Amino acid sequence: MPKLAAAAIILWTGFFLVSCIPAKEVIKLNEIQHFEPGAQSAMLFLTFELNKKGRRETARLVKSSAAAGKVKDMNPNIHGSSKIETVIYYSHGAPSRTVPSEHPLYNDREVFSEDGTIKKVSETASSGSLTLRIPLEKNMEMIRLFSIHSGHPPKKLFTVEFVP
Amino acid sequence: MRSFYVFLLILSNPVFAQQKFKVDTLVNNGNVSNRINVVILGDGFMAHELPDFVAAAKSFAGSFNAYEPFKQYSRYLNFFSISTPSPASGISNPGTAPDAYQNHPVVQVNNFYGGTFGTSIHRLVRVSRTSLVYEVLASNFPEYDMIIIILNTPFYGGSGGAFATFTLDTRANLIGIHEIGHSFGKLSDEYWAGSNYARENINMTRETLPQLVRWKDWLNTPNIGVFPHGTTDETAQWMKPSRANCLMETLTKPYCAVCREATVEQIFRLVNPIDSIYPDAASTVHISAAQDFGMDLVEPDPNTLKVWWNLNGKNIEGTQKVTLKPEDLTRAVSTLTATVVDETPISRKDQTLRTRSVSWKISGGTVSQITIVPEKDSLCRGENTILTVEDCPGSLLWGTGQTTETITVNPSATTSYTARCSLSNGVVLSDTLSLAVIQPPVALASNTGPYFEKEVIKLRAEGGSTYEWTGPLGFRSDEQNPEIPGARSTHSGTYHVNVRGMTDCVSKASTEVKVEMVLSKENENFQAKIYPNPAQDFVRVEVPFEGATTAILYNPEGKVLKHQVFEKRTSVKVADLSAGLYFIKLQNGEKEVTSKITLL
Repeated sequence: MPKLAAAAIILWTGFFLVSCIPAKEVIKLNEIQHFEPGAQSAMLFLTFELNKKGRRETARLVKSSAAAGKVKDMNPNIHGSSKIETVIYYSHGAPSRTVPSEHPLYNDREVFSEDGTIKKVSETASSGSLTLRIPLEKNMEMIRLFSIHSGHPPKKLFTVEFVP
Repeated sequence: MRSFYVFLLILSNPVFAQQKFKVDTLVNNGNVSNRINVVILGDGFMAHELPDFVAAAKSFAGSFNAYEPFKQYSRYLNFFSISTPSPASGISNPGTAPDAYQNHPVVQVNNFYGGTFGTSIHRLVRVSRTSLVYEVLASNFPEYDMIIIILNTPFYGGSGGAFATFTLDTRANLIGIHEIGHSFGKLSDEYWAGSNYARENINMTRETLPQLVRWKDWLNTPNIGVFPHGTTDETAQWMKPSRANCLMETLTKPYCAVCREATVEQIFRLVNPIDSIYPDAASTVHISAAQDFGMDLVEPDPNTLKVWWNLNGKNIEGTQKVTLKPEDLTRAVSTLTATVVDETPISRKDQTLRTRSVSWKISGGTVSQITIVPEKDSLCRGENTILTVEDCPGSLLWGTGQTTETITVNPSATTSYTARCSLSNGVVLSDTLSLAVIQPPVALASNTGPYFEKEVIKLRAEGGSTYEWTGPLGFRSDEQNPEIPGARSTHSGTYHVNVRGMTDCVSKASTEVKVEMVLSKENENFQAKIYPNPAQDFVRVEVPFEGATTAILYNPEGKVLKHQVFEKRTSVKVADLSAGLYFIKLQNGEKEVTSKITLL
């Protein structure tokens, strides 16, 4: 019986460790791959892996990199009811900015017939990836990812804090 | 699980993560920072087939640039292709879809982005390795504005989303242009895509009145009207500007006039028609002889750009350049401004988005005038700005009584400011500046509540062109009239909206939402009669249960106004209450029901 209890504790601890991957990362701006401090304008690419188990959605940051250049359109058209909203917070009281993206776990695709007619198809996935492209600004403090899905309140998925 | 390992492999493989591929410039119309960059990727092309991919990408660029309104604005776009060799040729065909083509062999192809025909809908062609798409873009062409993926198969298919995918069947080119209507033009579908997609947008509205509909400026145009999406239920409530006459509804049609206008407006959001200027305007230009000032413009074809020149507040003649001599300058520092406006008939919106200007400060003239220079040319009401007098070599006096070179002002309406500069020789120079104050939009927020639990909360805002809502439970939305289904009491609270006008001035508004804590408004275990509704003097209540029943009447703020205990039936006097919406809650033992009641 004690052996059984010990095994249960080990299993439980293992499960706890695996399931408690923190939904938060701290990124040093100066250490981002390809980051050039002198660039006139720069973009930050962040790739997240999203997973869904039952109704629980989780996100994990898997890659960050930078590139020179400007993001021209910060308000992409996401016209389905499911989306990821990324809120970018800035220091010194500058107003936050919200950037919508397609939700990788709730995909909407258009299907085209040869006669020219079109229809919409909704798909769900248990895992997917999301790549954000946002302007890399020195006064960025934090971004938060929210999952917006029809009929449910927004769910905070992940937080990335930026430090110089 | 297999795809997860592929995903991990891709992320951990530096060859994938950072590999540089051949980027071909298909159409180069100018600097990538001031053009819309269409980046075309290919899947299922082996190394020896990559010339075929580049040819297909060029063909698509040609089709795209022949399509209005892109045809007229083709100089505003660049096209690039990124050649990624696939280990094997073609794309996968699972062959499981009921509509699978009979002559199409079933095959699993080891290609680059995981391009495949659909498993349940055959022609739903897409790529599975979307993260790899962005990895390749980030490493090879990060300044992309539109993404197109061409898949190496002659069979028809494609799909849309964040990027358009389509096959080598040339009919599929239009899939890309339709998708760009969504991703670039921010257009809605004009076929009925379902309730999830119904929202107020450029080419979709609930408004039916011709004088109020969003595309009212186009109603005198052939094929443009106010057409319902359908004839039943929700489809009849949503309007579109054309009926089976727009690419956003059917691939065999061009964009309708409303969608063309939206596309042109978006082009000018992203691209400045003033490509470059000479000389540089970053610092004051000193002239001692005749000097040209000019611009290189990104001209549509036909050219609908008009240019106006202004020197120190007076219009002067000029085309893409003007020539100034020192004797033309009456101030120590003169201001030359060029304003460029696109007067295309494709857009009937005001010219705000299609107008750009550039100014030079020029020295070298003879001082005969002072200048009031504002920190900002116009303000949103409530903002401060600094006014500075330039070129005053004497004593200064503002109309406000101040004598400093700079003053801070905070006008609530457009106001004129005057400064007088007295020179030692007795000459007085003066200047007057009219500082435009833009009134922020009149922001209004409301909701259709109060609500019971499980109802749909409907928030409403008006007065601007974009909206940002926040509220309880982390609620956020950028829709004008967002809806929250499945209301719960925790949704109660204040919802705030930032309403941004076309001029970028922002107003705030808020609305209080109340969600009543009841089990249900239709409690099938508690069939009560509450009548009349609306009521004026009395509300009569009947319940089918024995024993004491409590009737509680309260207002939307939750304040109890009447409390009455009765058996079977009673009348509640309401003549002393003002007109409005109220709630009546009935409790009998553990049974409970709440209803809305309107008093006249």
